[in-house]
Amino acid sequence: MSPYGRTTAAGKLSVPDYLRQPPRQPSAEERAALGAVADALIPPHGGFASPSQVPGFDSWLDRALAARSDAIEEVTAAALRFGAVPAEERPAALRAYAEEEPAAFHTLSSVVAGAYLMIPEVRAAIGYPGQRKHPPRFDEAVEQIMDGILDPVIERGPAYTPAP
Amino acid sequence: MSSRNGDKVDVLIVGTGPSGAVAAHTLVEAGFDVMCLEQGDWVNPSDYPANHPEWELLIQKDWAHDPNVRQLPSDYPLENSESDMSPVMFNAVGGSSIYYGGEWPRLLPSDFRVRSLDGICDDWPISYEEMKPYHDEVDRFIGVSGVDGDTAYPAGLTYPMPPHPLGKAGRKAAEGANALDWHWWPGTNAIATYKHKTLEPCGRWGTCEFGCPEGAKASFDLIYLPQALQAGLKLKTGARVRRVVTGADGLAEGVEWVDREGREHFQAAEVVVLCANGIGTARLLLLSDSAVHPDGLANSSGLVGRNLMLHPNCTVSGYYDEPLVSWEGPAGQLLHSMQFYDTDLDRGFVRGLKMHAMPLPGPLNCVETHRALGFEETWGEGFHAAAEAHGSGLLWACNVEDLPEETNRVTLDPELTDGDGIPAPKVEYRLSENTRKILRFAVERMTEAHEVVGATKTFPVELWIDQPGHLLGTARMGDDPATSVVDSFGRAHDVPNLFVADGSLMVTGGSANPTCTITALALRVAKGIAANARDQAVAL
Repeated sequence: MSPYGRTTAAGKLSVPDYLRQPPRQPSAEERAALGAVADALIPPHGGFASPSQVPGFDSWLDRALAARSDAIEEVTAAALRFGAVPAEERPAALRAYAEEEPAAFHTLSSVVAGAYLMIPEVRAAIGYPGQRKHPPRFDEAVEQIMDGILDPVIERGPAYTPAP
Repeated sequence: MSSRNGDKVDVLIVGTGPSGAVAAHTLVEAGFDVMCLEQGDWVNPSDYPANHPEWELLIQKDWAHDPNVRQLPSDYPLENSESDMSPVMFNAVGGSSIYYGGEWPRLLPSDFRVRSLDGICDDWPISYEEMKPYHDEVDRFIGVSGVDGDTAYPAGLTYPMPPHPLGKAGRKAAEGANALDWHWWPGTNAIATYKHKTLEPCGRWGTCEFGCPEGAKASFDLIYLPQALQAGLKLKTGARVRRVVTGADGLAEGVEWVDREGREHFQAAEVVVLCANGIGTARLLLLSDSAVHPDGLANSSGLVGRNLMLHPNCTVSGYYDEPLVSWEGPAGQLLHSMQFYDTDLDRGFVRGLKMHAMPLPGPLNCVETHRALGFEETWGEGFHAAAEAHGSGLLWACNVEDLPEETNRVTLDPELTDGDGIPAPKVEYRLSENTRKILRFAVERMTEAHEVVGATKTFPVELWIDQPGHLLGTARMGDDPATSVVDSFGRAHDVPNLFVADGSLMVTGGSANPTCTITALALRVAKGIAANARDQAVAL
């Protein structure tokens, strides 16, 4: 048996299992703690409330936890730890965590920030359409090099080192 | 207990990445009975992370570049504790082309003559001109896109497909290069601009290095292998080769392989071709020792696994006060610059670097980049500015030429194994002072290229620890069996019916992204096998 498993749950070798939901639902306490951490890291801005108050945050948090299902226990444990810290002290506590345990903080902060940045209204507000098919116009490539931008290079002529 | 599988085949190829695919197609089209063994399985474009809104989280673990992080069943562990970098690869049908960017620059003439020009390392046994027809043939087959007449190359370099748009990010990079009087040229990419054979037109998803959801990038599961299968190639997936078996005469007789249930098999072949990348091929040769080949197969020179080159990567992300549509591909290179490619001793080092500009897709990735500024600039009030910068970023990136050194090597780890009990490769790789000087120089130049056109923030990364996917040099070619593993047609000096056709062949690495060169070499090796079939030690 491979340490990486003989196959994935779906019977694949080269494609990881795709989870739309985390391997377990966070408890109400864990969910509240994750929201509190998100609120401490991402304050209200530009008409947006704190992450935990933005409609849909919980479902995107589930999607983020599913994407990092390997780290769900680590992330929820860290969230409970910082959720128990008084709100006014939480940013400083998280800052200290970032300095003392950077890898663990990286995972925690990526999950909550990743969840927030998946909310469609947030994406619209920051002008991110998501990765998607957006083929160029037929003449777009030509248009972008035919205005003379490449001329200085062409005018300098061959630039390679001849070899014997 | 091994079972003998089927009939002996003419040619058995280990690995289905770019080199395996090209070799397989070439040989099956030439009429040979060809089988490929691949330890991974198929990946569908609909599987890739960019199909999902959480793609930026998926690439941190399940779809990471580093197999030691990803840990898929097709992966094997790499022991990297004595290496400055963690080599990356993808183990699937199509190999690491699943995850390459499709950047497709050829080596320059100087790369083949480093000894003659710079007085260091060795010249290749072949030249730029000898490689050109093989390059041209591969380019036509896969439909490489680009602009003819790149001034960094000798005359006669043309591409079968028109280029991709520079985009706002590429235009900004070009303005920077022009302001500094640098060479640059619109990006040459193995990414189709219009429908071509089994490739779709590019949809500019911008996530080429994490798999192309559109099926436009020339990953070799989508081009060459489909045509090879149609022509009669036999392909076994989930087939992990554990050794090349040789007879008392020292010739290769076939391979032992393990299937996805852990059952062992033997497949006989007249000729064996290794296309398992610069780490996997060296590992397999070292695993295949025998009474006749006590130090590993094809290793009388002692050079199997040595001279590992990884093309260390460095980058500078730049952010501007104007929208650059940074999520739009290809990525792929928007443009490349060969300004600092060849030796100029005034720079304080030998050889050089290849630069390219790329988009920077994704707001979470942008936040990740801003972590370098510290907690206050990334979190709290700083978070929103970091996230909102996502659309105004541009990446300058470099491959640096690392010179071959025998101490940089792949060996077999005495303890670590993969899940089938096969010893894992141990990578020992240290950056030389020359390489460090190039990395520092490159970061300075890329910062300059950003600042000259008004970047407001720049983020240098002098060495990407987990980026080197260019695995080169561990079974180098040459005319002298004492100083090389294979000849210029990939034939092992010690084993006349054993061939290597992947990046292991490269004598020096240049700094151009190597898949283009690897495929041209594979085509040359395969054509050599076909042309000389009657004269082989084991005639085909």
